[in-house]
Amino acid sequence: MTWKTFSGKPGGTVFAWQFRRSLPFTVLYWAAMLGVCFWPPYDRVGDRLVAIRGAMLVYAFLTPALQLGGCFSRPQADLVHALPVRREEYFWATLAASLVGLWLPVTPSLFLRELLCGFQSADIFPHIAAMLVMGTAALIFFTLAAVASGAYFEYALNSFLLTVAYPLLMVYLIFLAHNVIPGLRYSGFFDHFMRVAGSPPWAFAMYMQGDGGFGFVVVWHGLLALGLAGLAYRLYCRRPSEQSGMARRCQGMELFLRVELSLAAACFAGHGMDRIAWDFIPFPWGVPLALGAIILSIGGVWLATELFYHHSLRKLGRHWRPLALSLGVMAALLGALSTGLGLDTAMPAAEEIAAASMSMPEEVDYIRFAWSVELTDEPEEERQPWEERSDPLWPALTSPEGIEKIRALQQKIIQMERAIQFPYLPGRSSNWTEDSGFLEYSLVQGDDFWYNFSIRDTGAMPQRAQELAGEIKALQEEIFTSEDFINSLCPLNALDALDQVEKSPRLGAEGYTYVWSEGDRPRDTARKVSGFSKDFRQKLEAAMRADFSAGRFPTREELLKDEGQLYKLFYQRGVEFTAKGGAVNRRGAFTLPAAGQRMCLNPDPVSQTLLPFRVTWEMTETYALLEEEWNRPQKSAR
Amino acid sequence: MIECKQLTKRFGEKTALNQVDLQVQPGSIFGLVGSNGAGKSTLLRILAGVYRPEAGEALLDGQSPWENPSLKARVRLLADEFYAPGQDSLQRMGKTLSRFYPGWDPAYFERLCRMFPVEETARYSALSKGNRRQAGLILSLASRPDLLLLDEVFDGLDPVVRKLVKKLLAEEVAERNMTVVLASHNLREMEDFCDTLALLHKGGLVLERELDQMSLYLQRVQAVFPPQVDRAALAQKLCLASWESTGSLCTFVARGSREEVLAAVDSFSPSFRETLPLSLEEVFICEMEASGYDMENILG
Repeated sequence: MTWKTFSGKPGGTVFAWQFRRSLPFTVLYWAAMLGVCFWPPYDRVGDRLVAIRGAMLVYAFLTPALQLGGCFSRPQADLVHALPVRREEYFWATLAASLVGLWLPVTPSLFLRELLCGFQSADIFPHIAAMLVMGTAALIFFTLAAVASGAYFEYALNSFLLTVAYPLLMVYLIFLAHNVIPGLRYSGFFDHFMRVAGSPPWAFAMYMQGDGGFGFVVVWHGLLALGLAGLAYRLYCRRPSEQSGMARRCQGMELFLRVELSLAAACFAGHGMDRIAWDFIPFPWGVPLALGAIILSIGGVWLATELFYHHSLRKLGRHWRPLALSLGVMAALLGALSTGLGLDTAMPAAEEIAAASMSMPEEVDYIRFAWSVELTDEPEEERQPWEERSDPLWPALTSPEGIEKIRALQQKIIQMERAIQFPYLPGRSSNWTEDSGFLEYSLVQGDDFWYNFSIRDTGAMPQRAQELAGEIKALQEEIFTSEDFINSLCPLNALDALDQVEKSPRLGAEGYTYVWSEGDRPRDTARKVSGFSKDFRQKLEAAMRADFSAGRFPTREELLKDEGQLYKLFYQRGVEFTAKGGAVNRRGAFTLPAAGQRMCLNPDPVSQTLLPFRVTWEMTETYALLEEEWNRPQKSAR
Repeated sequence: MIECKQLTKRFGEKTALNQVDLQVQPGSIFGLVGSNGAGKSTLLRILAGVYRPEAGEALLDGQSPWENPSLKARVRLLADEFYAPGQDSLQRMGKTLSRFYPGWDPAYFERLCRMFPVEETARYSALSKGNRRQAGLILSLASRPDLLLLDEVFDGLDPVVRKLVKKLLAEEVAERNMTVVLASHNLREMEDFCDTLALLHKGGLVLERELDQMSLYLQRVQAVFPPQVDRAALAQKLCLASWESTGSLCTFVARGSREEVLAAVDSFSPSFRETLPLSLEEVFICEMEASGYDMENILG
């Protein structure tokens, strides 16, 4: 079809008319798009990109107000709707004119930006496609808001409410789900999905080119654009012309916004009351309080929105639909969450698991940290560059018996949660005073599976739950002190790479924080292990085993003291050793049992440091051995 | 032909048009009168396919104008507030509308532009209220519609332009059999121009008559009667629509042909009597009062 044929048809005529109508504004936008390629002069982490997206966003917001003026002004509606054009043709032609205006400068702007930044991005074409799709979704979103409004101020208000209420609803719904379903934890995909799906379409301005799952962002926005366009089209075709110039007349938008705001408030109230119950309210009173807060908030929003839309409460009874729908949807949501959605009992099969691990009590958790290693059996030419070698060696059980123990632990946790309260309801975590932890499964295919838990054995819990809590603690203790687990703890596992020992004063909280943020390096007073007795390593291993198997770990309480002294064990990068246990993740792709593998330590790729292992007097045998060696005359001091 | 059957339109709880039955013959000039909010503009918008009726139907040549582009291409609505994009000129708008309306007559458009004192290259936003209305009229007439719907068309026009508009409309009706529906709250504007008049009040059609018939059966008489003749005596022989007396001079409106009324008056031996012309407004008021309406409220 030629332009002449197209522009001769009613739709083509509308397209040409609308495009020309908004041309002065569109030209401004094009100029702004090219202008922001030069500003700011120094492109820091995509500043120019954000500016380009900002310009697109402003265009996407203002264009529907301009081109769909017939929705907001009666004289315009008289002209437009009296034209011999079907509404559907008018709508699509108008949308097409807006989109063409939006799209045209995107590609040249991005190319110009890349040119000015020295073509740093290799994926410019996918990025252009992503920008076009996300900008389209944003423009259609605002078009829908315009079609559902009867006045300019209402368009701005609807856009604001839709963009605020939707992410609030999504965020607090997720929070509520986490409160209600035991064991639920963000997975990488879930986290990303919720971040994208929980954002209004205009939030594309915040996405960066390097964000993970960019393809998903594009697919989501593409589907969103199609859905919103269909909705806007239906709404426009059915929209009575007499709504033009009159605010708050779109019943569909009123119902949608009232329900959306009610649900967002309900999820917020449910989550808030659950958190209050966590700290202050004894079990099981958190449940009725949280449910009450949800119902009250829905009622409160219903009353407030009734005043906004109808200026009085006199006809409240006639406007029962938003209340009924909000209560119904909330009941359905809570009903679905109360079953756990299978997420509370989700557990990988034993044969899918390559390694399994668990958190330790908070005081000793840092001992569980993964250390960065490099497998030395790999031919040098096949190795990655030194800076990129960061395969983590981490404490985990890889034997079938060990894995089964972790799975058994999870089974007991699930039983405990169900014994406490089931079907799950908000507020169930009231008076949750015990420590939280997690189980971690590294799967054969390379993914990780996490399960959060909290052990509760306060007096208010049902008897069966308390019994199970006791069994869980005993099983945790059994796993901590098993030989497999002790072998996998990195200070023992990499003992052959131990290089220096330092006796140093404890620096309290300041020193503790320093360790985590920047690492620690041996000072002049540190001594080489080679200067200690000949069988020092063997004795140290035996002492560590004795301490760990007896449950003697350095505690945070001790580490935080600023009096007395402790020993720091410094491990040396590049020294080869044979791992005794644990698991190693190969290039982030899959997990291998580490026992028997030759490897050497690498500094952390981010901080470029090796953390020392700190021994307090609580590890009685290890500390005594170090005291003995430290006080013995040295063969050769450093 | 325009035909409205039980036409009803509601805006929320307010009924703008309530079961209106109406017929407009092709090639006629039909006047819709009524106070503000009577439903005149609503009726025009339904006929133009802008509004959709809740009940009943409005048919143009047997078809509904709602979402009917081929029919709407033959209809033009000039609303009380004509809109055109602010940056467009009359010329530019003409070019745009010529693509929508197949009957567009560029030569006639040029002619109209010369006849009306509107600068065709000036931006619409720069035009005065009267000039905007003239621009709307030019664009409507140049579309050569079969049905022209005009809402308060004479508002803001000076007497010369008003006369010109009436002349042009009359020409179009005579030459092309165009139908004109004209809504106004000003009865005097319609008096010498419409073929048929309809009065709308609170969404209902109160009256619909051809103008010629309207004054034929109403006579205004001034007379001086003997003292024993009073209103009650006259009312026995005449159907009185209104009555006023100042001293011995009586002025009244009676129903019937001129001959019938004068014969009845003569039977009371008046010392003086004559018939006077009735304005359209007076005819309307009489008709409405006869129908039991409180005219002070209706016509404001």
